[in-house]
Amino acid sequence: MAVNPQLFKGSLNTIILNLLQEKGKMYGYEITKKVFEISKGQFHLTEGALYPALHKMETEGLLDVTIEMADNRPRKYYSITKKGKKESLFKLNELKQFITQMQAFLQLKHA
Amino acid sequence: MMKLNEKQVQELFRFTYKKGVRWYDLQCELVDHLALQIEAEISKDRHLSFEEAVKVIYKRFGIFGFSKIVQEKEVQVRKQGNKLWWKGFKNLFYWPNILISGSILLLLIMLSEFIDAEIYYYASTVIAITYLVKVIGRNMKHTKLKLLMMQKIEMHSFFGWFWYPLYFPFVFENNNKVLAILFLFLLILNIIIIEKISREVLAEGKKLYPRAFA
Repeated sequence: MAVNPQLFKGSLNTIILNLLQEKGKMYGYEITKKVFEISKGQFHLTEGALYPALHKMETEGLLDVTIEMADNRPRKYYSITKKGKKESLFKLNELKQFITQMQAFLQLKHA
Repeated sequence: MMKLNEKQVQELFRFTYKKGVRWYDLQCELVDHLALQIEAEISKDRHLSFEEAVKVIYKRFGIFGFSKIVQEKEVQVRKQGNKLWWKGFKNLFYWPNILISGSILLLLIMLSEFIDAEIYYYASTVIAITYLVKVIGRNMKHTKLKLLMMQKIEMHSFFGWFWYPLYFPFVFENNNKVLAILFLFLLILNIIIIEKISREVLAEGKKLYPRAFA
């Protein structure tokens, strides 16, 4: 059963920031592909969700942008900034806390 | 892996334009994304034509197509423009820029010994209109292709001009020099800020999208 994409939605920025931190610079399509691969096809990141998220983080100074020519067309690469790295760490901790909390909720009968 | 040719890539640029993406910088990003998806699709199914692949991929963007991405990007660019403007404004009050802004203010205050508030008003009007004409002229010849990122400047070029006739009656009725000086001062600061942002954004635009300036 595929995971409900709504569940990923709140953590989309965390996922993207973490990916960029690991992989260095990436372009949009590469991110969707990687997310698909890592989730073993469970999470299909749509363009309508990805690009607004990237653009928002660019405005917030979390991401930097460069353009390189690839296959005769400009390709836009995103990389994580210093501020982005800090935010990534913060978001990861936040998410970990959330997961612990969720686990507590799901194991109520043992409580 | 199948690769799109130059003509097909150009076709994708036209396609995004037709679907409401008027900004070249955003087109570049979407065209690359579409192209990569199409290449992957055709590599999987050799019988799929380019035109069919475009249709299949575009459908995945949902009923709103590119419009959500365009709208949200426009909002972000406006925010970036605001951020740049405020950064520029604050910078004028830090060392050593405070020397320049301080001198301008001091000069305006000293001049007020000799001139009436309405002279400031006329001066502001002439400066504002001259600058506006200059900016409009400059923006028109900036780029061959329209860049959304240039909107960071354009909105601020107009910011500040529209509200200033409001202060007209105050100046004329009371010879209110404080208000008149303050207005001219802010106007000059605004021009300094916009000029600085323009240079930065233009340099960034030329670096990222040289084709738009060719």
